[in-house]
Amino acid sequence: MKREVWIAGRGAISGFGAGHAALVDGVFAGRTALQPRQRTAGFPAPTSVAGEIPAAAFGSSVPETELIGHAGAVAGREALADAGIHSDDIGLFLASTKADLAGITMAGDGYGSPLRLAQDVARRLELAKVHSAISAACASGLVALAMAARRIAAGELEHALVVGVDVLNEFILRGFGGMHALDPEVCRPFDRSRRGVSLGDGAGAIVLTADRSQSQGVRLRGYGGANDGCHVTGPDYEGRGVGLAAARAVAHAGLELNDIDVLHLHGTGTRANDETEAIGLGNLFGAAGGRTPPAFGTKSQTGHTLGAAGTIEALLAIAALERQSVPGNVGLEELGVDPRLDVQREPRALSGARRVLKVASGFGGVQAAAVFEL
Amino acid sequence: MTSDDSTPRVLAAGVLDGRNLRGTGGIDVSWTELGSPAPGDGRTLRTVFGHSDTTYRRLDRISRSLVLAAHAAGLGEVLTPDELRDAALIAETHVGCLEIDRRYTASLAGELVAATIFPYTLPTTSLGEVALRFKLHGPTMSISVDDDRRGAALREAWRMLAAGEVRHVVAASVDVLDEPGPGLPAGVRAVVVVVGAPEFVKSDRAVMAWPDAVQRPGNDPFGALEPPRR
Repeated sequence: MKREVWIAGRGAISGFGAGHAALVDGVFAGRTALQPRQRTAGFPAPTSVAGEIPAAAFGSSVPETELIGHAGAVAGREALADAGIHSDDIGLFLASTKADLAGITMAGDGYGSPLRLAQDVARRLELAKVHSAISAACASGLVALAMAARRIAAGELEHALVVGVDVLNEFILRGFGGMHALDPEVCRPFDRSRRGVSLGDGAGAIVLTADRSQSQGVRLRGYGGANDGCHVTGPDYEGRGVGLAAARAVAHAGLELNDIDVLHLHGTGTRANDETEAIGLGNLFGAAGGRTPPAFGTKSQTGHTLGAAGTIEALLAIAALERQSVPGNVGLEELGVDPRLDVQREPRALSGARRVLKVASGFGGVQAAAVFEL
Repeated sequence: MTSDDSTPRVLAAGVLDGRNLRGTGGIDVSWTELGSPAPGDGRTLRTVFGHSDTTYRRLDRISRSLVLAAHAAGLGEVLTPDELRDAALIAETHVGCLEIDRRYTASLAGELVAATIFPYTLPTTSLGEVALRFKLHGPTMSISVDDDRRGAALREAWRMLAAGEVRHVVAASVDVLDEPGPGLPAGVRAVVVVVGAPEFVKSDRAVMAWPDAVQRPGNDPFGALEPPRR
């Protein structure tokens, strides 16, 4: 039994504020949520900016120890309402890199357990069940979408709520800073002078369903994963992992590469990620001497939201199909990667685009990809 | 999921715990015999398996436990290079990387953080250490589980095999913690199991039965897959 999997509801909270519309409108207007650090300003890290969720979006009554659970619940609640599916009928798949660290870094209960965070978010949303809690580094969100889709396709579940969430703290900011991975200012993915990543808070939520009549006309058609198998923090220099994950997702969708109309990239802004992502996808799509489909990345607008990036950026990938538009790559002045990757500074209109491929990468060599179809 | 003809074949298993390192690859050696507590030291891989690699001795205890258990299972021998390339890697953990989290967090008190261990605060980094040693290029993930509801990695492996996404999965359960935490006991245990889809793996290659406990989350199906001690 292999059933189709459809998108039924969407929600988000990000540096653009609470709401899926705020995220999508902000990105497609070419704005950036990367601003001088405020909530995290007290943490010494070699960057002046972050994509923090505005305080007004959280509300003043949320203590630091509960920000991550609150963010996940805000996005999840919006997605459930958007889908019109009652919380009694749906369970949660949660994705996060480090989840709730409050018990380690301050006076709280969390010990970095995604399951514990999932239980917290489920309690806030009064959900029937936690199905799974996943950590697959910065590919977590896409991996969680695939896990949920796998169960729906197999007939185990009718619906699933997938929430990817992470909130910045000292642990994360100084870790990336210590690895010399942060851009001191707003990051510039794919640009020749890029210097590193900018980080952000966020949660992205997607309700999946087997019932097309409850869907919003968008299908999660295929997914795939891979491991670079060469280094735990650095990518394969030929981009073989990202290419393999992308090829597997397209094959799983029952499609050919030329069926893909748009790419949403991982695009962190580090020299190694962007270079190898361009090579890997260039090798895949450019095997016949051509270029990739129109491609874009959005981390210079949202910041890298880590465990939330997969779901937040899946929302933006879907929006590109719905709006028939590829946003410009904010911060890109002079292309600094393999020119077979078709990234451009200015937004572009699409015509008849039906399928977008989203890719993501993470520590441990993890690679993930998903194909969405309008 | 129910037991039927789709149940995966178990091709190999290796376990590292507080007493010994053993596996269907033929290894069975105690830490007392090796003269170092679990999960061994920088020489253990060479001592037990007769080879090492350039980065093994700097691995954290979680990665070291997984790598040794995978070797004890004979992972590099039980699957061909092509099979290894496409095999998925799925682990489950209850305590996650708390041991590393604490070490790294302690460094936040200083001016310089312990940046070299920061990546190991993510559970997939340990899986990456396994992947690069055995040339695994399949889908990779870590599932967070309750201590009393084990087996999620095996259930996900079964789903991926049944869906035809992969032909083989390396499934693991790993919990390594030096000091106890709230409701979290200290201990060392890593179980690595190699499973295959029945369509592609003949039954005579199976070294043990797929445990019924996989369908009963209250049990620990990885325990049923541990090779017996001497």
